[in-house]
Amino acid sequence: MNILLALLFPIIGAFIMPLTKKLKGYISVLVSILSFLTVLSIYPEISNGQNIEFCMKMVFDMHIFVDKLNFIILSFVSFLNILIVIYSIKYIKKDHLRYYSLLLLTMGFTLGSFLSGDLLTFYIFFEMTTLFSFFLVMYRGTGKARRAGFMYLVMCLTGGALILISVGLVYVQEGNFEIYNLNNSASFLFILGCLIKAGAFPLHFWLPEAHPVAPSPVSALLSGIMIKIGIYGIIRFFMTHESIYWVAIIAVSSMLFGVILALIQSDIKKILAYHSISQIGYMLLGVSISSLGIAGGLFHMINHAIFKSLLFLCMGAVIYSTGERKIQKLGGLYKKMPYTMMTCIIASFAISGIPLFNGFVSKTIIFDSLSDTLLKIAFILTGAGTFISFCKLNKYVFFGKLPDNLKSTKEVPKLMLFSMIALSIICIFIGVFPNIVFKNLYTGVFDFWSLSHLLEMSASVILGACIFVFGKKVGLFDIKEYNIDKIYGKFADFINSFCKNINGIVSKDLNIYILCILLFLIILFFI
Amino acid sequence: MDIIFIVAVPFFLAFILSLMHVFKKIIFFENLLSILGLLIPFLVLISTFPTVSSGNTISYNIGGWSPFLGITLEIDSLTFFFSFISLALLILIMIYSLSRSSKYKVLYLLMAAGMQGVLLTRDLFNMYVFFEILSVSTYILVVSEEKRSYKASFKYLVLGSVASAFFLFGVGIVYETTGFLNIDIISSMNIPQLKITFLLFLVSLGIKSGIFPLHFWIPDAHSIAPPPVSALLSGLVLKIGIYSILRLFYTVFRTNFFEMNDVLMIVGAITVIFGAVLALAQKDLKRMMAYSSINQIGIIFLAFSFGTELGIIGALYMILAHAVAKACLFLCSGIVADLNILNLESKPSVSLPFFVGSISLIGLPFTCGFIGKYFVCLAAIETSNTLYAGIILFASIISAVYYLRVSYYLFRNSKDYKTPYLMQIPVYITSFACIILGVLPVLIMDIIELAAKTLGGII
Repeated sequence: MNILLALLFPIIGAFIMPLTKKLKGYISVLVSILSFLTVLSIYPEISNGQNIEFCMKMVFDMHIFVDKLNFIILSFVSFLNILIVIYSIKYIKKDHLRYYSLLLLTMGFTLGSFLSGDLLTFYIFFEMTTLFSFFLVMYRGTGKARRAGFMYLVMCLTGGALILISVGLVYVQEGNFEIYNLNNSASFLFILGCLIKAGAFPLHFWLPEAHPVAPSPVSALLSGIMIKIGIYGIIRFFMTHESIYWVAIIAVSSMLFGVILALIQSDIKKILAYHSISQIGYMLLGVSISSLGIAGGLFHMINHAIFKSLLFLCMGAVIYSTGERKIQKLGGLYKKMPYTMMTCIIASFAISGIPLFNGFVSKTIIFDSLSDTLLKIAFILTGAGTFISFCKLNKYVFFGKLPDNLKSTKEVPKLMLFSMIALSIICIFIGVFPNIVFKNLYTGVFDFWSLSHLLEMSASVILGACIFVFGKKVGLFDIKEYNIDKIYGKFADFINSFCKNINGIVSKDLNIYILCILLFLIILFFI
Repeated sequence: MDIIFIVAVPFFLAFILSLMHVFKKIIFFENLLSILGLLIPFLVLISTFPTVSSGNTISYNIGGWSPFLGITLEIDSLTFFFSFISLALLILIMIYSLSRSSKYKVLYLLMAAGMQGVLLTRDLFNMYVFFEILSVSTYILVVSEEKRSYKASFKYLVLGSVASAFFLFGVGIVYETTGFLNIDIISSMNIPQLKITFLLFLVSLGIKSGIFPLHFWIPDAHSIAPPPVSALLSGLVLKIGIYSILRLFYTVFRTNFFEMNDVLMIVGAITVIFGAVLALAQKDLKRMMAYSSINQIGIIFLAFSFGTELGIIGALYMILAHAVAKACLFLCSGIVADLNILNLESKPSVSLPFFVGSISLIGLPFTCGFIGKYFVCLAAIETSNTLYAGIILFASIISAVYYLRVSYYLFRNSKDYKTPYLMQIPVYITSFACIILGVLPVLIMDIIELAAKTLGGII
């Protein structure tokens, strides 16, 4: 019962926000620390191998379930929440009431979805996170933000609808809310819904729109934590099953396409958003192969949460100081923002899988569980692409010539730096001592530092470095921007104009109304 | 007290109220009478709860005539459910509109009497009479100061009269073929009615409740009527049509209904999509909500067309959810300054109830709309009509887009307006009810299950 407080603290915090005059940010920090402590307080029980399980008589019966698997996720997520809120204090300058209450609600319901122990509970929290994060995506209120927000809303609600249908199918067939049979339509719909939330490749197009337009701490929350709900759903409800081949195919295509699309972007936050798609591919690949792979996927989920949040916070710091978000307008910031540069480089090493950083350890596990050569090649190529992309990002943002209008740039406030530095310390810490986390995820032993693993990882880094150096000579990275995801926006416009046209057709003549009524009567009579 | 008072008290108080207006104008007594006219029936209704919840019915024969000849009023769980919702909302909306003229209150009480009459009576012709009382008073209530409201009211009048004519025609045929007007007696004879009779009732009640090709009066009447009247129309008057459909189709027309329920499902599904798509295209807030009502009515219609008990439970929960949430939204729209969606401005304290009401209509968790949507989807899947579940969810995604758009603008442009407390209280109560009924559906589940059993859906 105690663990429920972890999600109740932020939610209650959101409701008392209107009553507090100032210090909204600090109260939010307090609330998220309380929620973190609540999660930690169940550690003794979990470490004894006990699971926490109970049923709330709300809505229908909502099952809360905590074991080692989601305890470790919960503790990292609630810790990240604290850092994100601390970062927001200086970053968000206006409209505190709306921002903090929405942020806390989103955080609370996200924790809830990681606590859920059956399909219906998962669905309920899944929908609530969509609802509140939608307002956060639209926080800036520009036309672009509204567009992205509605795309986000429609896609995530579609994912929710698929999950609800699958819940219904399972309930009608089995009489409860557990998936037993993997090969039926229910599990297909469920995984599809989760994939939409996770932003896997063919369903990804909302993600690079929605994540960059939100304020940076919110991007960190969305990209670092929110998309993991989809992965958690797949792991929690399909953990015991055999490999899911079609998910592996989606995983590999997300990895490759995410990286390729990231390489052709010039908006610093969009680059990161596309990398989220590619990294989600890693997790899905792990989840879809074997039990070692699942442990690797989970580990990568946690690691990605850390370094992707860190990257978004770094880029947020750059935007905060300079006001620019296109890489062609940035450059040479290493003198002006040394700490931001350091943390950004640490995070870039982590995401590219350099040894001694946390990305390496989880990627190694996933790589080790692969048996197919094609998958291995795709894996190395993605690693190379990621490395190139982050070389490019760091080079254009922090090195090179400082543009004239950025001469007066200053380092960001200390509170923002605190979050960033804390995250980069965790990156290195997990990279050096991976077993602290890994022993909770997997029962066996895994040798992280064997020579073969180091060789495999260095293959992709060296490949990436070669391509980058060569490509720079040839001018491959002279910045261009392509946007190939516009088609979906066109589709939305089409639907909108279709609705307007129908509205125009509807007649205003009373005679026609009565004619319709009579026709309806006659048609039904002859059916 | 006898259950006749549920109908009689508002009816007589309406006349007394109009006489008071002639003699002396005392606002306080006027308000007192108009509240009492609804509160007394409500208390009488509550007093029947122990009997009804144990599965029994209470009946009253007017003038002591036997049911073969006279008129029977009866309260069973289905009637209790509808009567409870309607009286509770009538009281709340009356509180909201206490500042209006005494003419309004007279018509309001008449309408309440007609509404309760339709719900209580078990006599087909009497049902027609009460429907007329209900309709005639709403035709006038729709008229506001605006000039185009006359046109909307006229349109409503013509279409409503067509519906009444069809209803009367249908009653005539039923009387001719069976020789009785009492619903229970006719249904106990257990003979299929003529198809044309069934269709006459379907079209007539379809116009009153607003299913797809018969919905024409809804957008105009809802958007032009004064806000409390829109709340009444959408929240209650449409539901009275649905009540009669449920009552008649599961008793008198049972065989015809189950023969045709495939067709009715298609009609319901088209209504769902049509309402959602047109609501998306509207710029006027109240017009948008009117089309959203058509969407919701489609879901309700679809739900009970499945014919299963689960479907009826879903439909009844949807009815409750829609009545409460839509009333809340229309009452909010009376407080909002500008009805163009892009220029909405409001007090922050109104934005929150509006938001709660709209997430309930979308059917997101922790609101009563979700429980309804969930049951309807389960019913669809259970009868292997998964496609219809998909359609309902698709429509709910569209409604999420148009409702959250409004909520977004409301939250953005919040300013401090002065709103009377009497107008705010009903808004808060209804939005609070949305959440309570969504978090603790057990509160009302028993009576709904009982009502579904009374109707006897196939299991």
